[in-house]
Amino acid sequence: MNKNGISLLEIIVVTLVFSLLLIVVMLTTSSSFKESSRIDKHVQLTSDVATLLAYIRSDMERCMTDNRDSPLEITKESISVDKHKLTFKVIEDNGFSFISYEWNKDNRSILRKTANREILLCKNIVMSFEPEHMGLIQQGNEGISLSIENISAQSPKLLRTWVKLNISVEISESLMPENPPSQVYEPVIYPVKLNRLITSKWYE
Amino acid sequence: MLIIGNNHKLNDTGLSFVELLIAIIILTIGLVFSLHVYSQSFKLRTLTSERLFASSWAESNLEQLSCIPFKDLIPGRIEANREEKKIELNAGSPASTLIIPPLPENMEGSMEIMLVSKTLKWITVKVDWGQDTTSQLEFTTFVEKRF
Repeated sequence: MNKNGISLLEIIVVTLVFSLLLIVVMLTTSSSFKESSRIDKHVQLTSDVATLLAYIRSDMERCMTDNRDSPLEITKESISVDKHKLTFKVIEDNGFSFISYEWNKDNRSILRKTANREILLCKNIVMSFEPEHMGLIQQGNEGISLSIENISAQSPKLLRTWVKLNISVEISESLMPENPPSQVYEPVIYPVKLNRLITSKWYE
Repeated sequence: MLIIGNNHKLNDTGLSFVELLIAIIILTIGLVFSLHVYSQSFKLRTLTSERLFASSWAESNLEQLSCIPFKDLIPGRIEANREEKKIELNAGSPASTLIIPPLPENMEGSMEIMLVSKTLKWITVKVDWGQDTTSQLEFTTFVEKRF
């Protein structure tokens, strides 16, 4: 019978090494658990913003007007922005209607409102939603981008229009008190059909 | 060697130091593996937001190019960089002004306009921010001559 067991010194060495490893494993597991939760929230933020942008882009594709005035009048009538609200006119099967996207500070969401439906997007995550209506005007032989507010009827001709959004999202601190994940996006959305109408005005 | 009951043999030899070290090595390999999983999930986090940024960037450029009059869409390739870029696709025509938003350092973007026929042009917008296919985007559209 082999009675060669482990000496006390060997037990101490092994126990020490094992304890150190165990501590590292526990620390890694705990931090990876936290990080995994952060990643979940981060992916949720990204996915919610992607959904919001898909809605806006899809609605903007239908942005159009029956106004036959100057390009500046056409764009001002079709798209309007308030501090935290974007409204635009869209073509429907039976005429025209308006779609709006408005930030609700209290529930930190975006309310999408159509003629017959309201839905909340990006629930409880939106920290700011600032749309800006922009335009490209011809000045001499150059194209200059300006905010539509700063373009007057006397300004040189309007060549193109678009909406620039500033969206910041964050997970509520009550759900994640330690360093809540946040993201900022500045997408630019062009209403292609409306821009084609504007371009066609210059060929009339 | 102990013999218990009906010839069941029980090995009472304790674990040797080498055996314990082997066990620790196996545990360490497990730990390294879990760290690898951890780093992979961190990559996933950045990949999702990078992908949304890249697709939004590509879509807005594709929309913008679709707004430019057909005659001003001069075939060629345009590279994007770290700063906002304003270029005229057709020199002397302000309506062909293209405003390209900046890209972050780890991304490369380009746009290509190709003439398919006298009345049709093909636009491609590409964004690239890594070696694998999950870090690449390519959007295309056709633009027709309208007037």
